[in-house]
Amino acid sequence: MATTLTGLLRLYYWNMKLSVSRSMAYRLDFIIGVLTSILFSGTAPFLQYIFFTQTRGYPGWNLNQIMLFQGILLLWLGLRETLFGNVMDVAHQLVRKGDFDRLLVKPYPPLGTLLTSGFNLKGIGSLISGGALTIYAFSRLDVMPSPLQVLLALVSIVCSIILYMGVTTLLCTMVIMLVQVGRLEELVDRILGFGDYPINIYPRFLQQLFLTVFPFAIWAYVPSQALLDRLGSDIVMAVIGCFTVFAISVWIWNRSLNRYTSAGG
Amino acid sequence: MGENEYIINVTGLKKAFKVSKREEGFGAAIKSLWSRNHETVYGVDGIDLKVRRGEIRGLIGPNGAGKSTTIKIMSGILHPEEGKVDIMGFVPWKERQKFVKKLGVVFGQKSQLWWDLPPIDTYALNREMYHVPRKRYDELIDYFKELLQIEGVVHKPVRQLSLGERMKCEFVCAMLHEPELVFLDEPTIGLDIISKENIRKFIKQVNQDLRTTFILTTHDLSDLENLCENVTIINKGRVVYDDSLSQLNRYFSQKKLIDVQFQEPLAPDMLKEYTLLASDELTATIELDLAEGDLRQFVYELLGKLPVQDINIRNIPIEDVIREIYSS
Repeated sequence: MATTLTGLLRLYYWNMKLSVSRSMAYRLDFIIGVLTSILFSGTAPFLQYIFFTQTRGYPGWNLNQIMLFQGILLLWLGLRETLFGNVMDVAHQLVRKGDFDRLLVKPYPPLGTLLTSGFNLKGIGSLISGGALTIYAFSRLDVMPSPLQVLLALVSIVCSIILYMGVTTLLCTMVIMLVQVGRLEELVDRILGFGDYPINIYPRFLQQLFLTVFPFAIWAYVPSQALLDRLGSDIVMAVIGCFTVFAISVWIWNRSLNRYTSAGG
Repeated sequence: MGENEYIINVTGLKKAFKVSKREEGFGAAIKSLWSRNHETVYGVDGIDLKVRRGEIRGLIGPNGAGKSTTIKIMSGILHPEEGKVDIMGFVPWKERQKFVKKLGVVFGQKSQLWWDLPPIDTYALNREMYHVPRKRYDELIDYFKELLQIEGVVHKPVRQLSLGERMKCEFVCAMLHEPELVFLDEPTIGLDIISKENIRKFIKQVNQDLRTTFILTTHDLSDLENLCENVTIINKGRVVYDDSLSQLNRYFSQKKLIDVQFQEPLAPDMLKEYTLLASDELTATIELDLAEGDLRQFVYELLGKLPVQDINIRNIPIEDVIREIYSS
């Protein structure tokens, strides 16, 4: 298990190197991609700003706090795009070219091979703008988070990665095993979008849902609360939720893979 | 000969597929939303196959015969319903990850190379994947570069390579971890004569130098004639022929083809008593069934009856033999 994990991490590193080399082969496309990504990711905080200043805002959040939330959200979106931005493209390509069998003749678990092919350098646009906004928000908030708060924020980022790997695994299962999934991917994207807002704006039931069963609160709300020193026991349920989603998705993948390999084509 | 001499030992292999069936028309299409009829079809129906270590074996058959399914089972991609498979001491689908470390695969119509990068970058990735020691990797790269004459090619982006160059690079990719067994799925498809020759030379040389066993599926009979001593023909999920290529040549040894050239144009009715495969005024190809007549007697009579200028006696061509086996 540990050997496989180390092997997959090394494979990720090599795939990342090749992906960077490929981005450098198309320098102009890369530069335009990053600039567009910075501009595009900047629109979300701007809209939030307008929304916040023109309405009564979000309960329990002032402008600087919501700016921090937006900064962390952008950082997360950039991180997930950078780490796994290519996975769905690869999955679609495997289906389109009928190449999924190729993953099965590699000396790694097929899911691992798929997830390690996800690096996408274009995600650094959001990372840059997210980083800038987070620093700006901190400067306006005039607070310095304690090491424990930073640690909690980092734990929630690690859990976010686990959760996102779970969601991506489920999507890949749908795309590769079922082939025709229509607009299901769009629907999942919309559902994921619930995590882009502070969960206090939702009714109590949904708040619980986004902290447990679908713990999307982990990727912006929980780390923001941690850094603002307002985090309660929410993180425990969210962490358990993330690992549970990942475990379930891997179980579904394995079952589908078993059906695929025993059904054939 | 000991059993371990066989790198592949397959017995009674069966693989069933569930095929959905529906009636013609719009109504049937709507009905298929909630109710579908299925039929179980055996794509592989009791295949036995033994391949010796170091062999280059041709695996041929018409489309849909079960070749790919057999290869997929032997690669660990599919699970069979029945049968025993022992390849290099592994049951492929049970110990897939360990097994594939010793397996190489080349798909003639698919690429393992990163399209926008030079092949050498993909090789580096494969070195990491298969944990090939650096020194051995360098030796192998040099060996393959020389053998395939791809010194400059491996440093160009794949998208700029010709099909022949790309195929050579694909081979290197599949061979870098020195697999004991390599499945080649139509490796020469779409290549020109020179590229085909180069690829065949490469396969022969690697087979000799590294003792790699190759299983080759192809529709190009010259691949078989150039590379394979033994050939297995699969049709309708079963092995219908499993012997040497030279034996295949003698498959219709009871039949001979006699090409005759005449001194002067003949009237068509002068040839009506013969089984003609082709004819015009000055030439004819006659098929003779030796069960019905003696060859010497037949030729003697032919020379006496007709103004023969030249005569050539030959076996049924291998293409025709295979066509006959496919359609039987």
